[in-house]
Amino acid sequence: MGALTEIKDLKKYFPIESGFIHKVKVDLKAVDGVSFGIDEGDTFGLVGESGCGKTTIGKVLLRLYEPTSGKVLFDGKDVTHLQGEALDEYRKNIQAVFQNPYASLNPRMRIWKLIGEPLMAKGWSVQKVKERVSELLDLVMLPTDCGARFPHEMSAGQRQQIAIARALSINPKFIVLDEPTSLLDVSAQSSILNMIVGLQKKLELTYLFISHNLAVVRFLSNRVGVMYCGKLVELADSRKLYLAPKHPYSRALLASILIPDPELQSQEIVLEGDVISPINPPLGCRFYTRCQDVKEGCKENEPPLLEIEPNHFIACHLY
Amino acid sequence: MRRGLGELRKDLSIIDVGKGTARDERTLKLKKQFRRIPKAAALIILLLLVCAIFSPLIAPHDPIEQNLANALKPPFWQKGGSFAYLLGTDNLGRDILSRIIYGARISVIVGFAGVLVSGIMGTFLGVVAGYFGGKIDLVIMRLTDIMLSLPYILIAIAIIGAIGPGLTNIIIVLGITQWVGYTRIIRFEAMSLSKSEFIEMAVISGTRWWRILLVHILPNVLNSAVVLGTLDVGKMIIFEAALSFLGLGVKPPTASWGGMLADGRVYLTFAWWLATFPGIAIAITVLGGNLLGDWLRDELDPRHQLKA
Amino acid sequence: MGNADCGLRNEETWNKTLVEYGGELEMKTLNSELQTPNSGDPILEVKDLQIHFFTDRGVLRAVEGVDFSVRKQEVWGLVGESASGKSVIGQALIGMVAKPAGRIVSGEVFFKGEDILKMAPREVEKIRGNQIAFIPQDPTTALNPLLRIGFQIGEAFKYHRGMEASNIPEEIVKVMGVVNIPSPEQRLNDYPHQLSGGLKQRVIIATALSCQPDLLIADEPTSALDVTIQIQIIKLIREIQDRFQMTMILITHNLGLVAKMCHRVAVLYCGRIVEEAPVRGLFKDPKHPYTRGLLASLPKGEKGNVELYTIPGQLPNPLYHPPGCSFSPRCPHALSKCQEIPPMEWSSEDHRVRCWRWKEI
Repeated sequence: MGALTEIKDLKKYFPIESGFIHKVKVDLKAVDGVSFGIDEGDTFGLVGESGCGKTTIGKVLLRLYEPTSGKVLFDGKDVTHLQGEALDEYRKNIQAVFQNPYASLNPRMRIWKLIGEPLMAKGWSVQKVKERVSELLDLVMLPTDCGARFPHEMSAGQRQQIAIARALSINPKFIVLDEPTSLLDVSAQSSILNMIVGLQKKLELTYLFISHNLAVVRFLSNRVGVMYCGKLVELADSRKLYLAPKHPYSRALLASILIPDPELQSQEIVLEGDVISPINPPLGCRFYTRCQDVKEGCKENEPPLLEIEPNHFIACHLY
Repeated sequence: MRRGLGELRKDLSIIDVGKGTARDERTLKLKKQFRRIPKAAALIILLLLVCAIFSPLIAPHDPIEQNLANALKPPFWQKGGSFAYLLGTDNLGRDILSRIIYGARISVIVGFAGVLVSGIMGTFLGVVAGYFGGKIDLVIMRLTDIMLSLPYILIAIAIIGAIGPGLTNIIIVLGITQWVGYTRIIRFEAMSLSKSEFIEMAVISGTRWWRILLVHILPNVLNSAVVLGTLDVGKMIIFEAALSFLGLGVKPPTASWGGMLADGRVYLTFAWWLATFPGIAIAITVLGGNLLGDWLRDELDPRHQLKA
Repeated sequence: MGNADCGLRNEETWNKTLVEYGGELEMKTLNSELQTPNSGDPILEVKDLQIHFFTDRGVLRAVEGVDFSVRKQEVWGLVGESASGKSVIGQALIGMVAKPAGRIVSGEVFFKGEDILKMAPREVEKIRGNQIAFIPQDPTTALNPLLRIGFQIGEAFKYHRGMEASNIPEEIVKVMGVVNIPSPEQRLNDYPHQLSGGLKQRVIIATALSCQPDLLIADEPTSALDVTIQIQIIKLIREIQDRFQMTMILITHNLGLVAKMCHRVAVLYCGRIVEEAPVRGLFKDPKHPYTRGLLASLPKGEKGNVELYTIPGQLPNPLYHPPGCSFSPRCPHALSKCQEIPPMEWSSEDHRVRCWRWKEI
């Protein structure tokens, strides 16, 4: 199975002004040279902490941002700089579900209009839209009469179901899920997660699942990429990564999972210091300041992403 | 924070515990009904509308009928006054009360039409500036800066000078000078809305920019626009009064509060009722508009939901 | 879902996890720190606390009769989802229930033997910040953006310990050292926006600690932080608690956090405690259907593994709690009897449940 989506050396910089008296233009290097591919039918989990660039990658794939450099390929075609009609065509294949169930739905629109929006944008008639919306509501296990209601009448979990329904309305092949359950209670979270899994099987979807919650990512993904400060530090099959993470940052991340069982506590790896800002990243390895296994050369030279085992990539001088 | 736990002692008094809860629930229901309507504002606006719409039925006299024999009669409670002319007459013998009632028409028209014209213009420009940003935003903002730096009276004089006085022309002037107030605020809201997730979702769905503006951004800024509008009604009326005062407003002999103020100015020392009553009418109307605007702002604010 | 069923599914999956995690990450077995310190007179006793919010749309019964006691030097966890009332209880203990809508309708809160709800405001102020300290959820909004952090930490010193102004900076630096803020002398003059989330939370903790309180109430102290920072803060809190022998109430929705930090846990649903037990007992042998549902719905295992259990239905509207046992509409074991509020019963020495049918299921 070939890759459905691929990004090659993607860079996205945001120019910002820094300094008070002397304004200096610096780049916020949100994504600084990331490459990976997602096979059809897979769920690719992208993990990292805040500011690592995972959300930005999702937005570049959705073409909400245009990359500063690098390429985005979809189904073999270069979609990096599409505009106009070609962009619309691309958008038919890729949709998204975002984190905040309260902010992602226009509070003044009825639910059927919200779900049917992508269809209405394509010029479908109201009648056809309503029919399709009924189908979709069924698919996400919501009662069909809620089409007439407003978002604020629904709970957070139900709103995410609506967001999923909307994402599915035009039959995309690929869905970007950006922290869809982080703001939900445990009871809603489990039903949404089950639904995401179920829909993938049923509709043959491919997912990019972005999250900082490692337990959830493990539950959903078959391949996982760990990001730190705009770069990919480890990329491997999910089982391999969770079994034996190699990069010091991955290990610290996995050690930070809070396991809901008082008898099973992971070995603590406590990193010193804070998450680095992507504004002026250091020259060498970005994890240098917090790494507990530094050796000579880590400070000056940036480690490249190398394949140390089949399909297992890592960017670290230790390997 | 100072009144934290200690004050609970009052709320707590164990004897009242059972009653306490029930009492609160009853008070709650009463308060609920009362708070819904801003009584004073509603009354004033209602009065205004009644006067404006039903003026021929309410006004005791014809507002433009002159009767020089009856000129400068004081209000009925003063010596020389009569019940025929409750609030007295002006220098041309016209009944003040009737003129005030008919004047409400002008005020209502100017108030609402002025708000509509300036509101629509201002909101539209604000939404466009906020959503698109960049050069479009820059141009619109410079325009507002220019408009704000010129005193509106000056512009009004210039425009009226060119196109002449009259009700329609006043509304045009109001539209041209007052849109700025809306634009700044609406632009700010539109800007923050444009960054919110549901707009991103709309873009991803393939919705075109004009549809996004119309269906997503506009309805969500309408709240603020409406509140601004109601607060502006008073401003429009005062504006009209100022213009009429300067002789740039509605053409005489049509009754307008501002015009009455202007006419009555010279008589202030001995026939105070010519200017005072229209002045009071303006003040009350503006107050009503402001109260309504305040109430609307609170009502429409979603954070206001949880308040006892 | 019987007790055996849930337990087995849990253990199976976790044993698998154990085996799989083998190599790199060791699994610690039972931590002795997790034993409940049996000694312990209660430092805080709450009896029948009821807190209602009177709103335009009705009366919101946030807390409906909560009884618990917290023993000296233990970490007591209060777990619940949103609208369970857990934050409100925390606020009530520190005297910050949102006025005018929120009212403590009845109840007693005995801190060191005295009912703080009945105290005069001035006496309460002596306690708050001094003997009872509070760590709120979001460090960003908890700090005044216009004041230097040194000043904010020092406020408590000035107010509660009445120290001379000249001595304060020294003490502030000391307490910043306790929370591991690097280069405290320089940081004294920083403003909150110059600090990262983790540092801000440390500043908050420093402020809370400045008077060496006996009781520390933490409301979701780590949910706004990144996961690696979260671990730092957890470690810090544990060290502090150990060192100063403080009692702590941890309010959270995160069961993983509870498993890591608490000695005893209470589970809150719709304003009532439905189960309370030592942490091991709660996770190994949960008795209330809600607790079991919660534990079973946590994501575990890999892709393609078990489908997660979902508690049917949804959280009820906080304005309209179901009559009787509030969990009954969603409970797989509900009977008509559940229309009456079940009483709290002791299932074993330190484990209590509020359910009519805990013995059978």
